[in-house]
Amino acid sequence: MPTRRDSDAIIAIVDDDLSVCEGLDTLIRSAGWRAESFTSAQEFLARAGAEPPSCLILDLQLPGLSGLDLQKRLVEIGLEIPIIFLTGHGSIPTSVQAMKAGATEFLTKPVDEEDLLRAIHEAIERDRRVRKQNAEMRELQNRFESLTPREQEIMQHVISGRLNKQIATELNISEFTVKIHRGHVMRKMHAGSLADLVRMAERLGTGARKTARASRGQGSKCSTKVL
Amino acid sequence: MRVRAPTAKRLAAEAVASQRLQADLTRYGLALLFVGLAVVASLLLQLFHFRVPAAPLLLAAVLVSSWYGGPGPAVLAAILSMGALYWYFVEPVRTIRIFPSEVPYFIVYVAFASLLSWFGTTRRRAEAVLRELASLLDLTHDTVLVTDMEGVIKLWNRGAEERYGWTAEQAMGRVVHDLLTVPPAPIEQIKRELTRKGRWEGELVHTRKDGVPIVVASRWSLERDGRGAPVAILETNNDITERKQAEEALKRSEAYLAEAQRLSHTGSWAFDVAGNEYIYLSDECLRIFGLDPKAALPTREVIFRLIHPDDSERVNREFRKSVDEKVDTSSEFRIALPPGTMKPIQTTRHPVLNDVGEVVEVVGTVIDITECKRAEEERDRLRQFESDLAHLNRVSMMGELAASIAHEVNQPLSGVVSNASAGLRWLAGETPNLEEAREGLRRIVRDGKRAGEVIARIRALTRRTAAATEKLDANEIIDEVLPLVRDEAKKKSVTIQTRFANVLAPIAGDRVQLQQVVLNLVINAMEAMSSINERARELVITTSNMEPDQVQVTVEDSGIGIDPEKLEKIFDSFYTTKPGGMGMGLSISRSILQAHGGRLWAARKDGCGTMFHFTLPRYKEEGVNADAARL
Repeated sequence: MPTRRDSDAIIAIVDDDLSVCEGLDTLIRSAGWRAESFTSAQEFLARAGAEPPSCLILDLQLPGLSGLDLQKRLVEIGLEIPIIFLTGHGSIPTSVQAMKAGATEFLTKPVDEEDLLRAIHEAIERDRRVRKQNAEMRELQNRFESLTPREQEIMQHVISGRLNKQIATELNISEFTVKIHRGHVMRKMHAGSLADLVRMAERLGTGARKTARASRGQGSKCSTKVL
Repeated sequence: MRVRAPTAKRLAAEAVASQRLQADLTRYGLALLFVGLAVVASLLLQLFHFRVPAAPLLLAAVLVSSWYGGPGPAVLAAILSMGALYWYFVEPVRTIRIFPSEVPYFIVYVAFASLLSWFGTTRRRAEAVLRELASLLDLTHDTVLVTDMEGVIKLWNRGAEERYGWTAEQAMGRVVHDLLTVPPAPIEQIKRELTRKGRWEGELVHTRKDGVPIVVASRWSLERDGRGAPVAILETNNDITERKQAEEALKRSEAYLAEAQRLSHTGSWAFDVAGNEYIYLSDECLRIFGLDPKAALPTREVIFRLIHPDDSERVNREFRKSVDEKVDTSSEFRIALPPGTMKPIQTTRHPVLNDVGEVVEVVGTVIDITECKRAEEERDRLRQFESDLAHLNRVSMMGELAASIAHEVNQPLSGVVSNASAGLRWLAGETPNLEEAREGLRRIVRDGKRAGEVIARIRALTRRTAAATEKLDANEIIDEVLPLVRDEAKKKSVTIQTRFANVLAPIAGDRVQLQQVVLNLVINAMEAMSSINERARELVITTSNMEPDQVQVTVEDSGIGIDPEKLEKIFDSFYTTKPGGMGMGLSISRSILQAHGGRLWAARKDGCGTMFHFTLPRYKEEGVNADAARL
């Protein structure tokens, strides 16, 4: 899966104030990204469907559907976009709530240029990571799903560390047959070694939730790398 | 027609002449008749041999003729009687021959006849004069009566009849004091004085026949006989009841005037221009100047010396103006009172002109305006207090909206910072993007102005300035304050909707005060909806033209509403439903609108919520129709 370059990243801005919108729009464009402005949450939701943006700069106080409401809605529909919240007067409870719900950053207006650009960089990085991990995960799942039920069963036994003989006895088949299946599994899963297969199995077994958590941790590590 | 008038005149003259002739004929005829009767009577007496001389009878005829006919008929009667005497009764009869020996007899007769006719004529004249006098006495309206020394009425003229209601017949012979019920005490006193001086004058109360008492001015004089003994009293009385009443009424009205002057602290004065002195200063006037009303009239100098030195020249100038220019003037000045205190006075002057238009007098008033001044100061203080309170209300509203206002300033500032940062980036690098940079600068200018405007509005609202009336657009007033509450509304999930009249008549008023009213109503409305969750929190502001000359603004909410019995109470000072509210907002808003000639009231909305309406009079250009001005 090819990773996108920074300049391809779309940064969405949702703020009901024209001055704020226009200012952010030009700032983001001057930093080399693509910018898309929306004056309400509803407008943004109507747009979603095409290629999702890499980062969402969201005003906390929007008329009608508020920033926090939109954040919740995006989670509901499975659109995992890194959100940078903007607020005129950030209160601690709302910022905590926003961060808990997965916000990347929480900035107060007027926004410091460097803070914002750094946050956007982080968000894009994180987005890329998420996208990459999601792609790998999808690949692994595809490989796993290409196995026959018997092969999947054999794989379970293999990663538990059982010997071929033990597996043959358990399944009441010949040791040779086990070897054949095992060879198919290794090839279909693109595993170079048993350790490889075990890691893959681990990732498949813990599912998407575990993957996301891991990537978050890596994301913050990454941000230090960027700086 | 031209002929008839003289004819009528002539006829009238002829009638008068013929009347006079007839009267003369009658008189002379009577003389002839009397003499004839005397001759016939004497002849008859002679015929029957009564020896009676004829001369006395004839002389009697002369007397009677002179009595009734006057001097002419008397002479005629004397001549005729003489002739008749010689013809009938002096021997030889039937001849008129006078013998020398009879001359004395003849002379005596003539003398006697002349005497008789003179006597008769004189008596007649005297009687006519008396008759005339008596009727004159009756003609006069004065009451004239004559009594003897015991008071018994001897004469009672028609004036007395009319005055007292008793006829002369009823009054004659009665004692005057009993008839007119005069108490005896003054009568005795009057009589003593009358005896001493011969006359008395004074006022008495008499009672008329119908029982009504009247006041009379009475004059008594004592009549004495030849030896100086008092015989009669002549009393003339004039009814002065009305004059007396008029006097009393005048006195009363003067007393009322003095009382009114005292109560109103208003004195009056009159100044004689030629004499250069005051000719009248009312008691209150003197009291105001701290002078004794019972003392003699103070001179001009005394009065002017009391005026505060800083004011005296001006007062004098204004006084001269009334005299020189013949106009009404007024001045305010202070007078120095003994214990080092000051009294503010206001005087008004009016020049009084004579027939040829010269100023002869200046009349005027002085008013002690201490109370007025005090009330004025009190009013000023109250006004100041009111304005302080209004200012406090504005400041407290700004405090309430501080977060919202900060947000409203922060938004454009945020734009400015972003645009500026972006601008620097667009200009950096090898190929600066000038177009983007320029666009950014334009937005910076726009956003900077926007932030500045908000701050200017806040400053205007929190500044302590005197109210100024100008031509205003109510829509604009509302538009200008709505940004201040925008963020607050967002936070409270209130949507603000405006329904403005397309063409709204201009109004006259103070911008800041009217914005204060709108802010008060909007903040209240948002407050009223804070507990509403089951329906949308909607705030609607409507403007409309009201006939004939009003503009109406309505602020309605979808809040909890107000009990009907509290719809008026909410406008009371210190009435509040908000915790921490001062309860001044609506009360101040109402007094602001009243000062603008408008009204503010609340009404329940159909469904839920409250509507606040206020009206303002349309702006009227001086001398120009407001509609025309708008074109």
